[in-house]
Amino acid sequence: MEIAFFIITALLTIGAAVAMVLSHNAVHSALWLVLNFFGVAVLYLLLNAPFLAMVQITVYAGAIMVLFLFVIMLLGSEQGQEEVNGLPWQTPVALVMGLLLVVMAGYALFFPGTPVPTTQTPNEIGAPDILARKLFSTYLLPFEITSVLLLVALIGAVVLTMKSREGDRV
Amino acid sequence: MLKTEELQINIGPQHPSTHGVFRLMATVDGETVVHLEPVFGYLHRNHEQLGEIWTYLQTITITDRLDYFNSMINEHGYCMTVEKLASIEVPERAEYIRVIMSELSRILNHAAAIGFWLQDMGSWGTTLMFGFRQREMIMDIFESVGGSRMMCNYMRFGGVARDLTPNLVEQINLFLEGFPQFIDDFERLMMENEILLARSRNVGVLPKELAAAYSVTGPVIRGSGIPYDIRRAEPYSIYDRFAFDIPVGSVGDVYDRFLVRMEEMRQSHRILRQAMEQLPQASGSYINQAYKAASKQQGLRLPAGEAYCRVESPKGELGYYIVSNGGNSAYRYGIRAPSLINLTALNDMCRGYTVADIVVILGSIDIVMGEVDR
Amino acid sequence: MRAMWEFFFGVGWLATLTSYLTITTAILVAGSLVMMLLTWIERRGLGYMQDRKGPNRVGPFGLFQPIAEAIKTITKEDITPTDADRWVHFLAPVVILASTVAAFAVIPWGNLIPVDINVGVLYIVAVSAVHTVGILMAGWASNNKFALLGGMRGVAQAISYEIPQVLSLVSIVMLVGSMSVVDVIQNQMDPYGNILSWHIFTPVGLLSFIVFWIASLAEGERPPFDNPEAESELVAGYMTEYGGMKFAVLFLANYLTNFAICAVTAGVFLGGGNGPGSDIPILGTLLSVFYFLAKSLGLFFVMVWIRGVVPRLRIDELMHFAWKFLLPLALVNIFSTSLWIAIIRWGAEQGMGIAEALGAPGSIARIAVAWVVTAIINVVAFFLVARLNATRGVTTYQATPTAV
Repeated sequence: MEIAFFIITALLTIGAAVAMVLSHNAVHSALWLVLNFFGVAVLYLLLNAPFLAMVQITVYAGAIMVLFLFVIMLLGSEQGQEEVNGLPWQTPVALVMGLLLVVMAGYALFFPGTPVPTTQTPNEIGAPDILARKLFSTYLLPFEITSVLLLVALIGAVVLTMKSREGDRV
Repeated sequence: MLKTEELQINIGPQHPSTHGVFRLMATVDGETVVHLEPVFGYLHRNHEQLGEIWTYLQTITITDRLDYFNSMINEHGYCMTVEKLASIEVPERAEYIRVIMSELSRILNHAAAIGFWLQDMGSWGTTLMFGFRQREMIMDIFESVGGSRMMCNYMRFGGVARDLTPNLVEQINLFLEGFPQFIDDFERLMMENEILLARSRNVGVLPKELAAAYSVTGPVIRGSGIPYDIRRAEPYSIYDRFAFDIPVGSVGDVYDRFLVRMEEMRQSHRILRQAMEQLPQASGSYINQAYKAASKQQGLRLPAGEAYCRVESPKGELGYYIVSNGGNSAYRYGIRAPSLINLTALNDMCRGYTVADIVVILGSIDIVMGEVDR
Repeated sequence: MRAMWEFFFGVGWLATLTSYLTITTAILVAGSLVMMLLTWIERRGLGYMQDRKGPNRVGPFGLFQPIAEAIKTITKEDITPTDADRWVHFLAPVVILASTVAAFAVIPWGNLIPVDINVGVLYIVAVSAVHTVGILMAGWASNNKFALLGGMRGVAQAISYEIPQVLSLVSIVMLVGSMSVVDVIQNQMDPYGNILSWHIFTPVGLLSFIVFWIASLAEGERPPFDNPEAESELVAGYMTEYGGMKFAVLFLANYLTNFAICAVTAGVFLGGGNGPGSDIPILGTLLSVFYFLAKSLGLFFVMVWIRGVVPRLRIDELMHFAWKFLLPLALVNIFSTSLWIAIIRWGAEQGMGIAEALGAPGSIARIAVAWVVTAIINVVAFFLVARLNATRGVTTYQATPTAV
C-alpha cells in the first residue's frame, strides 16, 4: 500500500511541478507550487518524518507561498508579459545543469550503492528532539549562518519599506 | 523607500455602510486616504419641485420623508415657516406639544445614530439594539399621536393635529422615568471601551476654523468646539423658556461628536422634564381653532411674500425658505439640509486616515440620504 | 509485481481503509452537526444579549433553523462572477473547508481519539496555515476589489497572529515534553488528578492561554478581529462574490474553525475530557465526551459574548496588537516556562544543584517556588507590556456643557 501511495503522490508532485512551469498565469503557477509542496510533505510522511512534513506545510505551503501569492496579486502581474529575454546566457546553462541532474538521477537509479547502515530506526530520525539535538550540535554552524542570513533579509525589508522621516505622515 | 501608486476605490452605491444609496470615490495610497469625493443624487425625489406643485398642507406629508428619522422636527420647521408667512398664531399648549415631540425625536435620532455609528465600527448590533429599544418606545408615542411610527404627519399650521391625552402624558412621563437608566447603561457599555477609544480618538479631526468655514452645523460643529445651536442662537417656538446646556467638544474628532450626542440626549431629557411640568392644561387649545375653522371653508392661501425659518434638527440647522405669490402652493421652496452641508466636510475629515476610518467618520456625521438628495 | 498486487487487493489493506473511512465520516458528520448547534447558539445568544429573541420559529427553540437554512442555500443558484477565475473560485471554498476539517483528525473528543500522531499540535498549526491559501484564492479569484482587499487582510492577519499562537503553544509543548495532543491532555491528569492540574491553573499556562485565545480569535476571524470580512468596510470581504452552496461551505468552514479553536483550547488548557468520573470504563467515555463538549461550547459562548460587546479593531491597530503585545508576552512566557521546568525537573546533572535543596524533582516545595517565580515574571511582563502599549499623550475628553 505504501508503494501505491508513493507512486500516486510522486506522480501528483511531479505533475504539479510541471504544471507550475507550464502555467501562463503567475497565480496558477504559485498554486501549483503549493500542491507540489503538499506532495513533498506527504512524501516526508511516508519516510516517517512527520515533523519535517508538518514544518514543510506550515512554512512553505502556509507562509512562504502565501507571501509569494501576496506579492503577485499586489503587483497585479499575474498575466505574464511577453518580454525580451534579458538573460540570453541562461538557456544554455540551464540545459547543461538539467542534463547533469538527469544523469545524476539516472546514476542513482541504475547503480544503487549499498545503503548506509543507520544506528537509528527510521521512526526516531524524524522525531523533533533528535532533529533539534542534531541541529544544535552537529549542524550548529550552518544553522547560525542561516539565521544571520534571515536576519539580514529582515533588516533589508524594514529598511526598504521604511518611510522617510521628514517627509510623509507615517 | 518604495514608490507607491495611488488607487481609486468606489465605496458604494451598493455598500452596507453608506447609510443609503451613496457613493464615496476614495483615492487611496495603500490604506491611507488621499482624496475622497462624495457622490450623491441617487435618491433624488424632486422634493423641492413637489413642494411648489402641491398645496401647503400636502407638503407637510413629504417633509416627513426628508430626514425620515425626525419627521416631527421637519414638520415643525415647515409649519413655522408657513405660520410666519401667514401670521398664524400658535396656542401655548400646541407649542409645548411641538417642543416635546421635537425633543423626543432628538433622543430617538441620537440613540439610533450612536447605535449605527458603532455598527459601522463593527460592534455587531448590540449597541444598535439598545438604542433601538428607546427608539421603539418613542415611536410608540409618535404612533399614538400621529397614527404612524415614522411618517408622523402630526403638526399642522397653527398647532398639531391631535391633542395629548392624559394616557399619553402618562406614557411620556414613564419613558422619561426610565431614560436616565438607559443612558447610564449606554455610557457604561461604550464610554471606556478600549477599542472604541482607539478607533475614535484623534480620528476624523475637524478643526474649529474649518468647521466654521464649511458651515457645518449640529453635533459636528459642536464637537469641534463651537457652541452653535439654533435653540440658543435664535430661539424659536418656546425654547427660551427652558434651562438647558449646549455641550461642546474639545478636539473635534469622532469621539467628541459621540460625547456631544450623549450629552445632548441628557439635555433633551432635561428640556422634556421641564416641558412636561409646564404643559398648560387647557385642552382644546392644541390648535388655533379660529384658523382651523377658517381653513376648512376655503383652504390656505398665503399672502405674497417670503419667509425663512430654521430649527435645530438633530443633524444640524434645518432651514426652510418659502416664496409665495398668493396662490395655494409655494412659488419657490428651498431647504437647507444639514446632512448635505455636513457631508461637504467629509473630504477634509478623512484625508490622511485609513479606509476603515472613512466608515467611522461618515457614521459620526450622521447623515440621512433622504435629506441629502431630497 | 506480485507483491504490489497483493498490496492492492489484500484484506488488511481493505480493513485499514474501512476503519479510516469510518473515522473520517464520523468526524465530518459530527463536525456538521456541531456547526449547526454553533450557529444556533451564536444567534440565540446574541439575540438575548441584544434584547431580542433570535430565530425561534423552526422546531423547538428554533433548533432546526440551520437545517432550513441549509436547504435554502442548497437550492440557490450557483453564481460565478464574470471574468472570475472559474477554477480557483470554485476550489477556494474546498481548500478552506478541507484544511479546517483536517484539523479535527487529531482533536480528541474526550476519551475518543480519532488519530494520535506524535506531532499533533504542530499538525493543527500546519493545516490551519493552509487555510490562508484558500482565503487568498477566494479573494483573488472573485475579481472584486473588496474581495481582494478582504483576502489580503485575512492573510496578513492570519500570518501575524499565527506567530504568537504557535509560540504560546511552544510553552505548553515544553511543559509536556511532547507534541502529541493526547500526551498534552494526559499531562493535565497528573500528578494529583484534580482540576488544578489543568494547564490554565499554572502561571505559565494562564499567560499562554490568554495569548493563545486572543490569537486564535484572530485566526478564526472572530470579532473584534473580523477584519477580513468586516461588513461595514468590505461588504463581506473574500466571501463577497460567493453565493449558494459555495457560501454555505465557507460559512461551514468558518464555524468549524471556531469550533476547532475552542476544542484545541479546551484540550490544551482545560484538560480536554478530564473531569470527575472520566476514568470509569464505559460511562467515563460518555462523561468525557460530555465534559469536552461542555468546555468547548462554553468557550464558544465566550466568543459569542465578545462578539456581542466589542467593536472591531482597525487593521493597523490589529497588527500592532499582534506584534507589540502578544508576541513579547509569548516570548516572556517561553522564558518563564524554561524556568519552571528547570526548577521543577532539573537536578545537579543539568546544573540546577541548587534546586535539589528544595527536595526531589516534582516535590511540593519545588512546585511552590516555580509557581511564585513564574507568576511574578508573567504578571510583571503583562503589566509592563500593557503599559508600554497604552495610548499616551491623549488629553482627557469631556463634552463640557456650556451654558451660553
